Amino acid sequence: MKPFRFVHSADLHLDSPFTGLKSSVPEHVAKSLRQATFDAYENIVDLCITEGVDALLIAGDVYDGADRSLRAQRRFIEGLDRLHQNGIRSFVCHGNHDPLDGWEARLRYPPSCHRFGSKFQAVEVFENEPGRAVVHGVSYPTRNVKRNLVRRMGRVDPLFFNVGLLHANVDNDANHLAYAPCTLSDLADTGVDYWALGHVHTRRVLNTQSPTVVYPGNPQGRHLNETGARGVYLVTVDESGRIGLEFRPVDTVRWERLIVDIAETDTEQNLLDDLHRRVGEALEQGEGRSLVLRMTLSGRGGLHRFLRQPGSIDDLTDELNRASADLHPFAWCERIEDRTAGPFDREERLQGSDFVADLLRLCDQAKKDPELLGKLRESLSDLFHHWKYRRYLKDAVPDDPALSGLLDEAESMALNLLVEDDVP
Amino acid sequence: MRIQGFRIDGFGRFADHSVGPLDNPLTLIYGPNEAGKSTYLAFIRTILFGFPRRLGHRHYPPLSGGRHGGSIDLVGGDGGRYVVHRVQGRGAGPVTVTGGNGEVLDKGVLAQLLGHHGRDVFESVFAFTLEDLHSGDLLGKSSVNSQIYSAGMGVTKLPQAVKKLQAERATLFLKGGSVNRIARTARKLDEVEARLRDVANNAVEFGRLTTRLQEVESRLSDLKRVRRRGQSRLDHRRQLQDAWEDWNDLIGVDRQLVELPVIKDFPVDGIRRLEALEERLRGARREYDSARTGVEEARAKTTVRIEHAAIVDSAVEIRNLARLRGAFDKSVRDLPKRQAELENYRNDLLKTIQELGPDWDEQRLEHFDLSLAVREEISEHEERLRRAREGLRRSESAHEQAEGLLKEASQSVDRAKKELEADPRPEYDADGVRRRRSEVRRARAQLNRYEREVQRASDLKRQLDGVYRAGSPAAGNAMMWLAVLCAAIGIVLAVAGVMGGGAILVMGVVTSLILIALAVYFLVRNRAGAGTAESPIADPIRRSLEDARRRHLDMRAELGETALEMGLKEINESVLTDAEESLDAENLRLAQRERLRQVLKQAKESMRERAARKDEAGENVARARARVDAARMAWRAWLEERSLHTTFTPEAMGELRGQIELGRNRFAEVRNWRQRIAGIREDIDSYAAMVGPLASSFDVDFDPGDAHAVGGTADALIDLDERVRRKLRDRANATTELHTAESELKEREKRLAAAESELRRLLGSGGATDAEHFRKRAERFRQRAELGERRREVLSRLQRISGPGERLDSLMQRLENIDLQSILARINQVRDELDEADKEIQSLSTERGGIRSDLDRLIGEEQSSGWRMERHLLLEQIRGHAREWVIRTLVQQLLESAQSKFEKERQPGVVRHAERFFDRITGNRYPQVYAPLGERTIIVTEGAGHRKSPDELSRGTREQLFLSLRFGLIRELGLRTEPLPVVVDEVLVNFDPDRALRAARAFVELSRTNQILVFTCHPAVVELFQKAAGEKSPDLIWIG
Repeated sequence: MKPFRFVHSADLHLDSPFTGLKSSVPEHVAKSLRQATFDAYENIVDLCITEGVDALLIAGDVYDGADRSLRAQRRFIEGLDRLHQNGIRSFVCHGNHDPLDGWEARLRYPPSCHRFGSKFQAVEVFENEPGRAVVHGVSYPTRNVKRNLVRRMGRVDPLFFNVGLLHANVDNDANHLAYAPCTLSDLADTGVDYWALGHVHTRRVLNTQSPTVVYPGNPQGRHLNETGARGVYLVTVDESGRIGLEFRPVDTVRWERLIVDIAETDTEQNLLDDLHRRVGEALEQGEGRSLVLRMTLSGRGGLHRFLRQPGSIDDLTDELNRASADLHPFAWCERIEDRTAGPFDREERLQGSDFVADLLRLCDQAKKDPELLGKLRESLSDLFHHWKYRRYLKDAVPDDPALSGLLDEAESMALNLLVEDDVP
Repeated sequence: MRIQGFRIDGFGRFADHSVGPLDNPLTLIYGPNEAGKSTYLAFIRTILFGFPRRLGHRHYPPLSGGRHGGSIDLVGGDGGRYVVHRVQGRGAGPVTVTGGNGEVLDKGVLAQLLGHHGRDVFESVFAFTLEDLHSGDLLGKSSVNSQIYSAGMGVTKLPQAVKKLQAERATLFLKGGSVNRIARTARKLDEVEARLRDVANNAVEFGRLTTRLQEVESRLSDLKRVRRRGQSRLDHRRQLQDAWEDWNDLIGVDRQLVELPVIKDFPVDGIRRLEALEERLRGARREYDSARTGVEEARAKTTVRIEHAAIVDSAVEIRNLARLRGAFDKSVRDLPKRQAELENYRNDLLKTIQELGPDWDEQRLEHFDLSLAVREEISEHEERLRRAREGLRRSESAHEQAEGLLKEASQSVDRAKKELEADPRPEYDADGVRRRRSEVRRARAQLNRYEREVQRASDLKRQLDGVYRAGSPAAGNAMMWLAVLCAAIGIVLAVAGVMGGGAILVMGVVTSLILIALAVYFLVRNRAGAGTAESPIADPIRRSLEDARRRHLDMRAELGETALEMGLKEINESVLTDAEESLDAENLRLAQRERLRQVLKQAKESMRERAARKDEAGENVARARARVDAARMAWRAWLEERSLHTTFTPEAMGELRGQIELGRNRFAEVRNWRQRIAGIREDIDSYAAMVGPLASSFDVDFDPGDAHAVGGTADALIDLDERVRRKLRDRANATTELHTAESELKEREKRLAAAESELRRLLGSGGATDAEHFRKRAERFRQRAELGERRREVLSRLQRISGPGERLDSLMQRLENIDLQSILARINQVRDELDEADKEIQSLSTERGGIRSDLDRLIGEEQSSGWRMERHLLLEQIRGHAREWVIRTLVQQLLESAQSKFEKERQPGVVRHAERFFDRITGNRYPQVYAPLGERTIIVTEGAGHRKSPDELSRGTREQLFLSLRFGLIRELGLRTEPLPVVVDEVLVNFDPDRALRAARAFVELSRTNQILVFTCHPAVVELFQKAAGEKSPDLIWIG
């Protein structure tokens, strides 16, 4: 067979916002973040043109239909037009975020683009060379597709090179919703040579051959759980039908989490210097990408008291961003989490008989005693059941493990309030 | 744990200061105000719990030096010994704990020794001051009870912490509030969501606009088709309209052509050519006339006569005269000036020779030797003389300086002698002072022993007095009263028994007998007491007193003898102090005298050295003078050798040499000027010789004796030569002009004939006989040509309108069959139709543009992205605020639960202990103390059952209550952890004497379990504790 190449991407989520940002973002950073999904998509199109591939495959969730973003659809089609002008075909299936019955602007797709319908179709990649390579794909007719779509696919011609294009949750990945669930063996039974999947945002190669099953992940991370390089797979099929995978990052802004230990840091200035140094290192390792950072301060040290003072963390964040947000590429610290503890020997104090010892014992007891935990949860109902705010806070109601973590922080705050200069 | 002692390296006013050993469980540390008691207390707190972080090095800085910190020796509950050493440094200050063998132990050992109590517990409960006890915060405020509880719980900041938490919670969220952060953020979220809903509506608008756009584009397509057809019709009508005028023009041209006669050929551009020929003929005639006049004028000039034409043969001589004419005038003018300047130079030369001397003339001036060798000889003499004089000057200066130093040394010796003579001689020499000091020290030791013996005798005397007072009649009286009382009761009972009879009689008699027996016993005891006036212990005291008195007398006698030996009247503290001061002054005098002797010795030594230096300088002066004389003699011989005056100095020779060189220069100038004047005279004479012969040849006046007249004659000759030459040139030029004018006349005759011939040919070619006839024929030929051209143009335009070939014929045919009015009417009709279509197209195009613009705007709107991001940002913020509120709520819940639990489980024990102490201290006035649950207050109950809160108690009683609470806490905490030392500073000063004694006893009782350190500045408090302790007398440490 003649060799050919294609780019496999998925979950573009064009024009969907970055989530989890806490501090207000300066305009130039906000602009970059708003533009990031589009820039990543442009990079994919550029990659296709530069590498001269034969096709681009997009495995669902091109945009979030619920957002009704005209801009997203327009920019998407502009990219497909560019591919068309360069003689590159495109194949698109729709997923749970952009199902066929979702809202869609009436825009004209280029003739070289094929959008799959709600039933499996087989489409030639090379129209003038029938049978050289065929793409089998299906789109979600509605958002909630909970049936196994793979089982509805017929057998394929084993003489062709067959590519499957599908938005699905394979082997019931617990971190993602179970849309179009199927198993790896379901995919293997179809006779497809390469399964181009979408839905899982972290890139994974579930099976290297017979068939090759790949999640490329989303091309642009949008929140803290999507850290590191994001991109697409450049897939090469040689004369003997062997498949070569090459990951190509296309993201323009990266999420990173940095943990800084304060144990050896004695002054606020030294802490700030440490933070600046870590940001600088992250930028150096970021391959020229801008960064959105979440910094976590950990460890036990004298600076804990300073960090717990109202406004200290905000001041640190502002100071850090003042220096690095104007860089190009920029590094924007969206928040600093304080997970530090004071130089306080908890085990030592637990052996005492004073109020502090009683308080510490009570904290320990609360984590183990469901009744006490329930009582504490009840004390939070004023806020979480408030008619005005509950719709905004329904996802923030702490479960038992979260409440246990909050109790640790509450204990730390109580000790800060009660104990000072108390180290023998 | 107890404190065995402590050592202060540097802390407040103390440096290198030790206290201890503190073996007694109760130690009183007594000292006046500012003696350092508070510093001790702060030191103990600091070493055990560290320097306050905020104060650091400013916390009791070491004013007397030493390293900021120190160590405390501790004895643990297991009897082990430990040393805690801490100095000021990073954080609370580095601390080391060492064991009894000096091994360094883990810091956890210190926490263990301190019963795992923190600083707040220690300072509130174990180590407190009067200020802590009656802190202003405890009086009359609503937080009194909380403060008491806080102290008990080891958490002084609990009330502030709860208050702060409540404030922070309210800032984040308050039920029913609208200015808290969560409410504010929620409001912003509502706004953003409203905007996002608007954006969702944009999608609906997008669909509606897309449908309308398709309708508009369809209608536009139809209208454009209609318009194209109408335009075609309009073009057709306009073609006829455009051709109508040309067609009429064509008909008119054809008509004019028929009327004009036909001239087949005519010279091209005939009229212009005719006029040009006529102009050319007129010009040729004017030139011919001008040439004839020129020939006649030239011929007249060739015949003119010229005088003295022979002068041109003397051209060489005349040119020489003219060339040298300027030089001749210059020589004539310069001669008198040069002669005057020569005279000035001669005068200068004579003056210079006179200045050199009478024996100088021009000859000697020119030949005097001023070579380089001679100048070097003069320089050598000058240098030799300069060096010799410089050496002499330096030697004389050194000699003068040596004399001055010698004089100063002599004066120093005189001063030292006078000071030594003026200094009084000391009473003792050095050995004498040492012997006397030894005697004084021995006498002081004797005096101290004598005073201690006096004190001892005094103490024994007071003890003996006390013994005598114990056996006084007051005790006997008491016995007598008891006897009387027993006897009286016995008699009363006996009488009652007799009256009652029976069993009562027996009991009354027996009881009365017993009482009477007791009365007899007391009487006998009273008598026996009165008989023994002295206690058995009085005798040994008296014997000791006698011994003391004896030793006292012996020592007094020894002191008298010592006074005699030392030459003193008596020996006491004042006399001995005077003697020591006198010896110190004697020592100073001895040192001063020795210093003066050394000064005199050094002055004499210096004077001897300076006299030797002065003699040496005198010899150097004599040698320098001899060198100056030798140099002068050599110079004199050199002058005489050159016949020069011997008064010249080498420096003056430079001036003489300058004069000679000046004279030589002036002599050279005079010689030069004499030669130049001779040359000028020679030039004038030779020029006059050239002028003379020429003047006589051409009749010009000449006077060789007058230089100015010679110049005038030369000028006249040169002028004559020039005039003759000009006339000759003019005559030669006139001949040439004549030849040229004659040939030009012939040429112009030819040109005139050619022009006339060409005119004739032109008239003939136009078929005309003369010029007028020629012009008429030319006009007709032009009119016909123009009409032909116009016809071609009209036909060309009509063809452009219709198209070539048959279509032109078709057009012409249609034009023949139509009129202009009909054409215009049809054009207007089609135009109206088109205008209507255009209006609709315009309107629809505008609408289409608007729709497309709206669609572009809707597609291109980017604000929705920003609002979505803003929504997530606000959601994250509101969750963040909620999280902060949750943490604070949990903290508040935990604190309240812990406090409630503490009150239930611990406080009853504390109050029970406190109640017992308070009851004892107040002498059973307040037997009950309790803390009602939930009310968080302390209530005390009087014996009569009356309840009081701390606010209702007097200041002293309130302090006793808080002291009792602390005692209770110490006891309660001691049951669970290591008992810690109790350190108190002036806590009893507000108690009345009775309650103070009871409180002191409470401390004594507490000292069975906890070490007690009491700081005080009141002697009464010391006596109070000594009294309370009884036999187990406390240790007393005096500071200050």
